[in-house]
Amino acid sequence: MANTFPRWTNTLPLKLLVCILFIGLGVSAGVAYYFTQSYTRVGYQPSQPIPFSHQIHAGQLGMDCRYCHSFVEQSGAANVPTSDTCWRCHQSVKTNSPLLEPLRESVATGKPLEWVKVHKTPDYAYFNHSVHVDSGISCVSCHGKINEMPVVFHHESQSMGWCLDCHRAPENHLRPLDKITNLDWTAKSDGLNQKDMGLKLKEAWHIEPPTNCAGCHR
Amino acid sequence: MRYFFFAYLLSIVLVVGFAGFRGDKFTHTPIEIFNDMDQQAKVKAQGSNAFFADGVGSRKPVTGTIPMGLKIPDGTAASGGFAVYGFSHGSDYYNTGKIGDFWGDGFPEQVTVDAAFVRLGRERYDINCTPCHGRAGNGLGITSQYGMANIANFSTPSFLNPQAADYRSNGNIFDTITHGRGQMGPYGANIPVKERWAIIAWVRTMEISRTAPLSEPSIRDAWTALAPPPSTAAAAPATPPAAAPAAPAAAQ
Repeated sequence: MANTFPRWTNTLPLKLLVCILFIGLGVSAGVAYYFTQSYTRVGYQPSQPIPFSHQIHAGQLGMDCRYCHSFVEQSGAANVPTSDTCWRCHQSVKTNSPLLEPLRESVATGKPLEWVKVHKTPDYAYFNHSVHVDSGISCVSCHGKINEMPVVFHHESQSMGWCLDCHRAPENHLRPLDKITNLDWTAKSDGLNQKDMGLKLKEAWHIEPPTNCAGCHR
Repeated sequence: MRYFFFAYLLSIVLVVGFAGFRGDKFTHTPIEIFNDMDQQAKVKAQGSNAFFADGVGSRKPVTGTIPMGLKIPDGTAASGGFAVYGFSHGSDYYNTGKIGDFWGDGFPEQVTVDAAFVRLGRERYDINCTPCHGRAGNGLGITSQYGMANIANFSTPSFLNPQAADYRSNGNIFDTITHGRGQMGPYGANIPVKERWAIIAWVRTMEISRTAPLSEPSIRDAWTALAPPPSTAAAAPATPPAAAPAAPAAAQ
């Protein structure tokens, strides 16, 4: 009696199993690596109507973040400055720059500049800037070293897991209130240990970040 | 089997080649993989909205209306001109810097000038005023190096001497912060009323410190305590002359 199945079929189940295993592994690894905000958001660097450089304004010229983002300590939304704010200086500074043409037009017509939003919380998450800034969380913890970015890019993943990492252990980010907008400051630069200082501040200020759903999702 | 692994490696190279790595810079709108309710039909702060003709989501009060809790200040535009700015929180000294038709001096009863208040003023001054007026209030802020001219120096008679013809009283300074003056833009929209008074307290503090007589023993003692230690003073002549012009810039 001839063989019904040729000899090579003996190893076929094993080979199929190996293939399926590798495909499964590859797809899982791909999804884990790409289907997350660490990939989809980090590095987002849109071009803006005016190539405004935070590196020049906040870094080189030493302006405080709150000169422009003036309501960040009182408001849930950290405001983008109005054209009037730019105009206070730029009516006298760089008056001939062609890059500032959209600003001059905006001031003349009253039509706001359409800056492109870089960091965006989903509409079902209610993030409040003021409560974070007033509780000792620096801009740098969520936005990176903006004062070194000629063009702002998304620095942290800002995913829910990332939020919770800090909400469960805020001592890793708490700092004195007068150092909030000093993006170059670290506990180390003042000879302090971040964790020890953070734990002290957490106790002194009664920092108890919510980790329940309703803390951020109403 | 080797064909499978070849195809497998090829697909990895293709995926990585097209999708890149985490943290790569990109300018296109980010993809949202599970975008359930990420974008809801509601207006968020400073967002756009197609419902309105001009597309601006944040609306201004309708012309001729006054938001609740605010009012049109008393007095005619001719007597003080406050009505020309529209509604405000009130027409008293605290909110306008004016008493009747005149600029007031001193601080309104709503604020208590103490150490904490002056510290608040210093913090707010450093945020909002230093770009032009400088940390020391001498008008040599960073913008003076970029073409901004005639920035007010707070150690001049118009600030120090109440007898001077162009003396700026507290109320006058309050109005300048609120509505601007000359080339200085208005800051009323950015600085709350209380913080404007705190800034005035800090400006006055700087003036006093600039004109404090060294002959006064208590002032001399305080100055000696703050003076740079001898080691720094000794090191100063060793600095090469080329580095000297950089020093004023660093001090800003």
